[in-house]
Amino acid sequence: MLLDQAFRLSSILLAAAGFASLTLAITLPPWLLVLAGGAFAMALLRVRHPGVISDTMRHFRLSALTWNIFLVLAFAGFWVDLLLISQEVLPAGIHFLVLLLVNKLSNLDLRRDFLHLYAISLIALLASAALTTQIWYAPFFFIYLVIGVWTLLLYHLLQEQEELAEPQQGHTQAAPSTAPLPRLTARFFWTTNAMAASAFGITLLFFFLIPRVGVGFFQNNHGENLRTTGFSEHVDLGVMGPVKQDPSIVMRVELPERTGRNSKWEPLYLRGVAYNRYDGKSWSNSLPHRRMLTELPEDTFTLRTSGTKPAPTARQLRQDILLEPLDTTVLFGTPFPTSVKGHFLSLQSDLMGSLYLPVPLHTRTQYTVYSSPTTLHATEKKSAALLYPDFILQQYLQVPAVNEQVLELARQITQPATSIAQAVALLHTHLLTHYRYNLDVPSLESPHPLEDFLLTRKTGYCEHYATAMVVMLRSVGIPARLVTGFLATEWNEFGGYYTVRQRDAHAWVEVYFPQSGWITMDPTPPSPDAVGPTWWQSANSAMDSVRLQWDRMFVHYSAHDQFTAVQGIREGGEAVRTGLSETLSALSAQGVAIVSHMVISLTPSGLPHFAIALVLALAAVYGGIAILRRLRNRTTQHSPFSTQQQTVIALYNAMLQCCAQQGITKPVSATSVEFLEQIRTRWGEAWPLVDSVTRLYTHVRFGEAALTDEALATAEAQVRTLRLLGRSTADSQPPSREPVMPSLTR
Amino acid sequence: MRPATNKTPRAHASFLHRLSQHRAIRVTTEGTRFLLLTLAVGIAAVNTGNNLFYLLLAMMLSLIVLSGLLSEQCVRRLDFHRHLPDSLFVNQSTVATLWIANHKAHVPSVSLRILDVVAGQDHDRGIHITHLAPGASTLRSYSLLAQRRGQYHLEGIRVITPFPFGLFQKKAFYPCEATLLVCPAIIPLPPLRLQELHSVGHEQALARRGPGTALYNLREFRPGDDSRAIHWLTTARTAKLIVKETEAEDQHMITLAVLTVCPDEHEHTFERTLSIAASLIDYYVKRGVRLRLLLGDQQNLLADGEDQLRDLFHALALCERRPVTASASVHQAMALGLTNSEEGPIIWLSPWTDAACAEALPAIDLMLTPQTHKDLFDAAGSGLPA
Repeated sequence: MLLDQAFRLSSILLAAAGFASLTLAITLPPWLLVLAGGAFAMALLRVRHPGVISDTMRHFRLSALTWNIFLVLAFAGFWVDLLLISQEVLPAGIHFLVLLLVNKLSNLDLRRDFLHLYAISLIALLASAALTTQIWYAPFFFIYLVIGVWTLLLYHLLQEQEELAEPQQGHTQAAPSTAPLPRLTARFFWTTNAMAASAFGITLLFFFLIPRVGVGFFQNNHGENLRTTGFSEHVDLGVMGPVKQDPSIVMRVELPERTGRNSKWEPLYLRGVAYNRYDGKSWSNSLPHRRMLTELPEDTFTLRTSGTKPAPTARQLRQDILLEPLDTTVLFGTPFPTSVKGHFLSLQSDLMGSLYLPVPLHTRTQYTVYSSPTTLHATEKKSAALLYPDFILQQYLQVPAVNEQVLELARQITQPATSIAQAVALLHTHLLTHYRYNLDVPSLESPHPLEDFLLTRKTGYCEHYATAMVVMLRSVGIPARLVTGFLATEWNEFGGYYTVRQRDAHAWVEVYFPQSGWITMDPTPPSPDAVGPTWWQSANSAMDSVRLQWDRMFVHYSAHDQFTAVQGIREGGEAVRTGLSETLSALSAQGVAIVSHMVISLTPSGLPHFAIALVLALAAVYGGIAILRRLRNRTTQHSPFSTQQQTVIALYNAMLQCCAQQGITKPVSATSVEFLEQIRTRWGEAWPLVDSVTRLYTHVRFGEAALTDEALATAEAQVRTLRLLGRSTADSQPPSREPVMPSLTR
Repeated sequence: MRPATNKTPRAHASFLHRLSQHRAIRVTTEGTRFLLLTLAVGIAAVNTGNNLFYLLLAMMLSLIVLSGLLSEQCVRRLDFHRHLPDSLFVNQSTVATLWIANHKAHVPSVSLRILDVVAGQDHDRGIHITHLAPGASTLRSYSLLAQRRGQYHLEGIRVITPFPFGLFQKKAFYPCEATLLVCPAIIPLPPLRLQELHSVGHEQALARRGPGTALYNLREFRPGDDSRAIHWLTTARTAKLIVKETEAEDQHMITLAVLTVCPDEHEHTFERTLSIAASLIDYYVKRGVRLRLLLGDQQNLLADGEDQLRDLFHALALCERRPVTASASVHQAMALGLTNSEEGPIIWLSPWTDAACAEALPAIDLMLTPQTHKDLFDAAGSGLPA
């Protein structure tokens, strides 16, 4: 491909990369997509068939005035878009940008048009960076970088060619009209790609090294948050049903301190909000009072009140949670959080241990929760009666006006129980075994959803089970409450974390025991349609893992990460230094011992040991210097011939080999011209080929003439022809094998 | 022609000193735009805290760094040898050649522009090397034109490359010193004056060897002699190759006395005087006239044939103007020099006339002053720098 052709192609591909990333980040109007697509197609056709398209376009080409009018109209359209249609600066600006792109693609004539095109493509990539943080941005960025390196390099080389060809005409014309331009070689291709790879490496280095001082003055905080259900003040029974099919990812949870293989598949309850009031149709929280959590150093918020003793951290479960932007202020964590670490302005907690942010977050957020799981105290497992605090009795024994049959059912189930814990277990088992899990339940329309579930339909999902258990426990005098959150069951093997989706939204029960505290109980049986992981799910998991890494390493890379990395490198360096020092010490001790042993064994009587040691040391130093010199000489010795000369020498040798196969060997003392004369007399039909190659050889090797691609290609073809000729000659009439050039070989 | 080789830069000053002296970077127009775009992206990244903006910023910074690294590779480990003539004349171009070698083992040097550094200024000679393979060398010729008489000192060679992206121009300096003598311009003398100049001193001619028709001498043939000069008759008689020598038609010596005293405000006239002197020397010596040059109070120089011509031109190239205060001593020295002259007419060239001192001079055959021979000086003035 010619230089200018490659330059035009790479320029258009650069613009295409920017435009493609933009189209994925924002939904463009179809007419704009068609317009831009047409412009790209025409520009590419002009590259592929410049003559034909230029001739055709000459008839349809719009004048400069028309394009100016087009631009004025596009600018007017931008204001109309801004004020009436999109009513936002970014979409209106992007639409205008695409129109500018179309204009430039249609008028790529002057050098400044190309510069404008690059600027537009960069702005497009910038706009897509502002609009998205998705993983697909990464490949587009990489492609843009590679094509960018190509384009800038070709731009410079073409400019240089133009300056050499037409130095008097300035630098405004994009392509020279007369001077033949060089073609791109394979070596150029790989060299440029290596440059692009280097640029990518340096980019990554810079990305991780640039200090993060983002002040966020103009940050776009109005992104679309994921809609959640079940975490508001009032939650209607059955509201979770519709989201149980939604695969949208809500969060990813890592358990860094849980390394056991068996533990990874355990379902993980991520507690959101607890409710204590049920009115027969919806749950609510009658304890809305929230307190601000105490902030400790390093962005840590603790739930313990001042003066209390901190819980032992060894028993705590640490969870690193990457939360997607949600429309709720609730913060999730396994029961029961004791402290939270994250970049939050403040954190609040209600009386039931739920965590709240001041406002919903609009960006993906990473935080760490430390939780202390509760277990039933041994003494309470067999207690027939428990003494509950008044506050608990007031808040967690409320039972709505439900059908008497529900209360009777609770009494029947718990009648055999000899202890409170056993009564809870009986109810739990009853719900697990006598009811069927089914998402197709129209609870929101039903006036009595609990009775429908327990007495009539006997099918339902988590909310029905949990509500039924809480109501039945309370009806028999056991304090309980309903908790909504997520039940994480999807373990990502590749990334080593739980993927939590909308469909994992869950409701369960917390039962109060005076000594043990709140104990988590889940009466919902597992979903029957849960199947093992398929290849598609595995692929999704792998992709999700990549997405998480992208998010961690790029999208949410922060000053804290930089600090951690620096600290890690310093600690690693110290460890390496210590290890190296110890190894060297051990080796030197061994070396000294060996040398001492040798000295003692070699020293003749009467000679001091240190004299022998000195001689050995001097010999070692001398040997080292000699080796270094040899290595240096080896590295500094270069071929006396240039690359072109080496190429042509190799070609000439190949030609000599062909001749040698015919029995005509070039004597060492013969010059190339003398050998040519010998060919003329002994292998006449090969003479024109040998003559041509010999001429090129002498010009390039001895005359230091430049070796053009055309000359090289021709010579290679001639050597191939010579080889074929040699074979055909050998088949038909082998040449005489008399001694060669007696006058020269004497 | 004599080669001027570069000194090894590493042999001298410290790294930082070398860095400041031997490397410079200039931002091109495209580079300025690119830097402004980078700045804009950087501001956007800081303002928004968006890491993808930081990624774009890192990409643009990496291209800047890559430019620096690759351009450095292009301009390092080059070697230069310059071949120059010993002297040249003002406004008369001469050919200089430059041998450029790339001593890098694997990396080519691309898009090189080679410039001469004269008095700290870069002079573009139009040398452009698009590609110099690793270990390869090339020879480039260029035209050298000096506009002032005197010593023309070439300090070194500046290598400039905009490779790889044309955003910056990396400049490297290689010391490669050379000094040329720039002789005064040789001008075509007015035809009407040539006759007068030609006839000067004819009456004082002495017989000597030279171009002519009359027989001067017969001698044995020596290698290098013109075979047309063989005297066949004598050759046949003596059985040895004998050539004939002719008697020169212009067989006289002319003394060219150039007054070097001139006031500051007549600097231009002084240069014209030297230019006329050079032209006269060229005119007479090429016609076989023996010439004696008396440059102010400096030593006398003799030219008998073209071999000594160069010394006379070099003397004119290095001739310094003397202040008016030295007029008496210069005139005295010149009068002494002219009195001691053994033979031939005297041509007196003066850029300025000091009537008081002129009386001490001996008889002058031809006096060329700006006032008396305006045509010569006017003709010379057109080709001289103001």
